[in-house]
Amino acid sequence: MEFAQFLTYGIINGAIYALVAIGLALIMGIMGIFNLAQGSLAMLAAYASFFLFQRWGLDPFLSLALTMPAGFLCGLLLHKGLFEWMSGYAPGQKLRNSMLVAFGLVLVIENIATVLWTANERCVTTAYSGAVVSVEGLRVPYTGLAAVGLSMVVIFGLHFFLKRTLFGKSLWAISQDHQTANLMGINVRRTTLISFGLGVALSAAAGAVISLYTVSPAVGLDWTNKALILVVLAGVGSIKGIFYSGLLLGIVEVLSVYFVGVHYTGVAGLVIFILVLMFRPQGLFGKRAGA
Amino acid sequence: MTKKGFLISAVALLFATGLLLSHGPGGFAQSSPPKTIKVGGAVSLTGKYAAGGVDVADGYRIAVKHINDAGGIMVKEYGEKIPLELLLYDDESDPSKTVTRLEKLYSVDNVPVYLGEFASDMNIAGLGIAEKNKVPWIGVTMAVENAFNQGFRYTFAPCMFSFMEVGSMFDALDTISKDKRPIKIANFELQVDWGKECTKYVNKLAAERGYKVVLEQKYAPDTKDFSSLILAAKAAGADVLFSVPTPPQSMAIIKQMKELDYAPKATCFIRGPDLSNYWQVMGKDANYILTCGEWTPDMPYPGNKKLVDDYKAQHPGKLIGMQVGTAYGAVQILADSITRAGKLDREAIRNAIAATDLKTVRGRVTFDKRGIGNVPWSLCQWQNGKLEVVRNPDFKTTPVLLAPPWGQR
Amino acid sequence: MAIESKWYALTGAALAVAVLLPLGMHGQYGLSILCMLFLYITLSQSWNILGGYAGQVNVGQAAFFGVGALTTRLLWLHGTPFPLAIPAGGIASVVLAVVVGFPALRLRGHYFAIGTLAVAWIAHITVGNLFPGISFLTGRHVATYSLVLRYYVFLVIMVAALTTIYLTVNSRIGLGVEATRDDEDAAQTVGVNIVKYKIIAFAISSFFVGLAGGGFAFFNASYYWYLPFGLMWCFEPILIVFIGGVGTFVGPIVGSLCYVALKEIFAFTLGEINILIFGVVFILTILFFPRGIVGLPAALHHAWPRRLHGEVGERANVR
Repeated sequence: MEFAQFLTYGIINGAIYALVAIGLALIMGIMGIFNLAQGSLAMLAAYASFFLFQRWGLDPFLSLALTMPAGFLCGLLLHKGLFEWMSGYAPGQKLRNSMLVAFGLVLVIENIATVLWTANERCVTTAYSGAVVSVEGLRVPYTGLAAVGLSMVVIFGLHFFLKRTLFGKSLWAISQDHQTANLMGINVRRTTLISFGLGVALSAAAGAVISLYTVSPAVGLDWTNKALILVVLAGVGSIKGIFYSGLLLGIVEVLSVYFVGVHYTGVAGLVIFILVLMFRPQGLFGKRAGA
Repeated sequence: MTKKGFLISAVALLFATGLLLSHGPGGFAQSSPPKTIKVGGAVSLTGKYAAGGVDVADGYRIAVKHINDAGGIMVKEYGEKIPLELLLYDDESDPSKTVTRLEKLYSVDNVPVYLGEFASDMNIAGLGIAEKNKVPWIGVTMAVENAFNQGFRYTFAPCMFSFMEVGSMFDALDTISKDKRPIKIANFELQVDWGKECTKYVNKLAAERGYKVVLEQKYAPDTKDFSSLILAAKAAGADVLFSVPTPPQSMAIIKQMKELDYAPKATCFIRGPDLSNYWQVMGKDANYILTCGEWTPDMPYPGNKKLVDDYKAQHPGKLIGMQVGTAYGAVQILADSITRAGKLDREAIRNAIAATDLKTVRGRVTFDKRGIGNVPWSLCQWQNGKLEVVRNPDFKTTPVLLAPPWGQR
Repeated sequence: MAIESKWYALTGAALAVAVLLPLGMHGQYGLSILCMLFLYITLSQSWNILGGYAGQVNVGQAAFFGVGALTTRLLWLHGTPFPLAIPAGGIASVVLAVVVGFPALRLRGHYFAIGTLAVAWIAHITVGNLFPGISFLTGRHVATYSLVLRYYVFLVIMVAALTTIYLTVNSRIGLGVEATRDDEDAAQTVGVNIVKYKIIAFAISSFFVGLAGGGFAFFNASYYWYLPFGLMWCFEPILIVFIGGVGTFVGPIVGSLCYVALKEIFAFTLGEINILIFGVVFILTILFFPRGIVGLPAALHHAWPRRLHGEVGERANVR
């Protein structure tokens, strides 16, 4: 029973990791923009969810209807202002410059948040926070269920969107070969712009869930680091794989208490990650082998 | 610009910077009175610890304002009152930056006293620098006793240390009648020096006072899932939970305790629930949690009302954090010490601080030989939306409430 | 390898100034800031030879910095004189490179980067658990603490690092190292021993990072043991190198200067919004200097990959 309880939390935590990573998977994995600010944008969305809850009692899962479009618009603005000029760069140069710009963005976002809202931790405590679905002694928290549900909807939704729609296929084409895509009549500028907006909207989804736990201005980089690990673990370019890899990471961390103390569960997850990297560098579900 | 040009400008910049930054008045004692007495420290206004950092800064500012409104500090050497000038430099919650900021205060601003800041990472850096520069240092929050067992002469911390915090919890539990008293303690030990020191005292006091430590488990500052800890505590039948979690963890643990239906009669998190907005974000789930009680706005100590009224006037609508009071108290000690020293000499001030016996906004303060403050052992509890003092040697407090099971709240 | 004599004169002048500076200064602040500057220059340049010249982006530098600091501090506090304890830190860091880094070199590109980040993260958590406390200087060390001495220690470390790296990148080894960055497969086909050059770059990089860590341990009066393992020690040198100009020799130096100086000035003058303004300036710098501050003249020459000015043609002829 205890094992099942651990597993439950492992799945919940993993789904949350995946949700935070999915935006990065789209923006970095497919578009080649190293958005270090992904976690910080999720942090902003989490604050938005928090204030919408505090002011008007809007449940974070419901206020997604507001925060995700807002995130999308933010993404459009950010791309236009900060990242569009490097669209034509070689991949290495693009990664590097986007990383630098994004880092500056992290500093700006984090400090605007600190100045506006103080650095005190916030969290959303809804009426059903702490309430559980009890299944034969196993306690499954409602917030956890909702987080897993949202994660699945968002990730698999994105996967089908990219695979089945014309827009999605255009994005794949652009990520494979910029020039050819252009020649084939794909509006590269517009597609990348919208995709970036989408990536930021996805981080708004992550923000809603994060707000149910805790958020403070400085958490951005920590979430981004986690997301980075996950994107590489899944395999750069993989979308569905983010969900499965997230689950794996979450479960490994929680179950590792059987082998190491709780204070080493973070290490356990990272060690598994390194092992995968050494023996399967393209990631668990990677599209491209090698580099 | 060519590469050579770069090198030349780099050299020039280096030289100029070095000369500029090194300029500071030679000797310290001056024959004519200075226009202001510069005091200050490095404070985390940005970064991970900015929450406490801003509160500390606010507390300093109000204290300095009150002193200057009264004309300043009387310095016998010059026979006149001199106002304080507060210098606070941001250190981005990074101890490496703390070093250079404190060195500037020392050699450029020539402060006679350092003021401490909120988080131990940076305070620890400050301790070493204060000792090597021979500048007295007055702390605001300091809980690690080991830091004051190093034989340092210049460091003073009028704060509640680990043994006091743990002691105040046992004091509070002792007030509960024996038939209702919870005595089985679960200790979640955070893997930092403070956590380990607390463990030492929990074990010691439990043995001395008839309690039993039924569980001791470790976790790290980056731990996000506590299910194994909570289930173990539940299985061991612990009805007292003690820990010193980081603020986000203090929220996460409670939430998970509710999910796993674990409600010990007493939960004591020394750090975390002492945040002024803890109830605001946690709601009813925060009820009954015991936490650090160093200072609350309602404490009936002299000067508190004025401090709180001024704070509310300056920051309308903002909740007043615990560090505002402790920071104010530190400046009170500073001013009193300079007055007694009679001159702006670091050694004299150091000796004056050591001899402090002052009633501050956080109670009466004296110092032991190590520089550890003898302050009231105080504990708070969240009770129906308010942070009440439930244990204090100086005044009558509301009684400790034992937590009912989750389903009955 | 033709270096104009003007170069020597300029470098010599800079060195002379640096050596004589403390004698003309009474202020500790200037010395402490210069110590930090020398530290950052050392760290960034050391990162640069591996990440900029050899193309192996090491995001785990904190582990090496930390290991160097840990080793030096332990030895020094237990009686080893610092001129031995600090190089021991450098050696410890190289040992870590052998154990962890060289196997990691099998990974290419992003994977090496992320793998090293994971290693540094593991080190941070582990050291935090194993050494959860504070390292204090004992009475004797505090009483005899000399900032001037530490200034010279950092100066020596920095000069050693800069000299070694300069000589390396301007030698045949340097060619090999850069070849591995530019096109691994092509280099391999013409017989360049990829692995050997990566190892050399890594060894040099880790040695000086460890040495810098030793200097850090010698410099700080009291700090938490896990401080040099903090992940910002991974990120800051990388940011500095990129902002300054990656793969150039002067880039890290200029980048460090700007980074340290600006941060200090903003902290003293801007209060609560100092990091906010710094972030804005940072972004603007990238937007206006996409190839780094130093890259501006290179951009005019359309030379990519960048090499030291004026030597492209010379080297091609010398062969």
